[in-house]
Amino acid sequence: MMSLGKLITLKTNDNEEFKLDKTVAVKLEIIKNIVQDVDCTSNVIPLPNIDGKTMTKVVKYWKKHSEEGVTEVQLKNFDQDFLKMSHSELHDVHLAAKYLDDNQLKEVIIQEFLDRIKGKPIEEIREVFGIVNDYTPEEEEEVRRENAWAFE
Amino acid sequence: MAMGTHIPEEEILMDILTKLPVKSLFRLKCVSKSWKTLFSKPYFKKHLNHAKNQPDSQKLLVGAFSSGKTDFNFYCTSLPPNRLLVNDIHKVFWPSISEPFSGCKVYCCCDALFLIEIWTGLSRDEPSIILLWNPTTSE
Repeated sequence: MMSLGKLITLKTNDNEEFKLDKTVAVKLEIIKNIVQDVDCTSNVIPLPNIDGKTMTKVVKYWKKHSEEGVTEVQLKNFDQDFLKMSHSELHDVHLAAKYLDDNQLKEVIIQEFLDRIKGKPIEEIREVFGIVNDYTPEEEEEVRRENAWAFE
Repeated sequence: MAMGTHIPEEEILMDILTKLPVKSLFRLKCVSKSWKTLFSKPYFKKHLNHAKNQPDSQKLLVGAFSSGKTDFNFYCTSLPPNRLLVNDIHKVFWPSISEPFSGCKVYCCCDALFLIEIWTGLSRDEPSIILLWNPTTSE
């Protein structure tokens, strides 16, 4: 069992360390499981799939959302600000939230993606997901024609 | 350890795309070849089940002759639980059939797929064709 220290250290794949209050960290299913299951002599939990830049954002989100006495309005404003990031950064945070099994953060990110593509032309949707168009102009025209009803 | 496992790109996309209405998915087939393939996968059956359980995604399909009785069309409208007036009727595209057309019968439907019979001759004594029709995609 992990010793009952108050702080838990999360270590990213680029060796950045994040010290978190244990009460914040164990809210996450995956951290809780590691704390319970793994015979850990230190309080350091490695996060092999997350880099420091992304983890900084995630930790910022956790800290705000577990702040005592924080109001709904404050959280709403915080989220709005928090989500002002590039498409690829948003993708990284989504991935991190999945690894960390943090459903709340995951849902927030998914909603932001949906807002970014809603009613947007295909070209902009490609940009959001970083997709290279591999259709030839003729092929694309064909697919558009087949699905013309969906463009109305 | 679960954290060491690799999450496939497809699964991440699915998180987002399964939240979209079916119509949007057909539009998104134009994004790339791999997306087109993605939407043909059984994975999206789950999405259909999800849509079925949303009250605002239930639709009513009505077939009607135009006033001159020359033109027969299907119309689709949403079916909100407590609204008596519908204002979002839209015409549904038919499966392409040859003229003339003398009648049509809907036998049954399951998960928004319809089994319909269409008489293509001048009267009902003429041979008919039976089609499995998906009004959502007009296929």
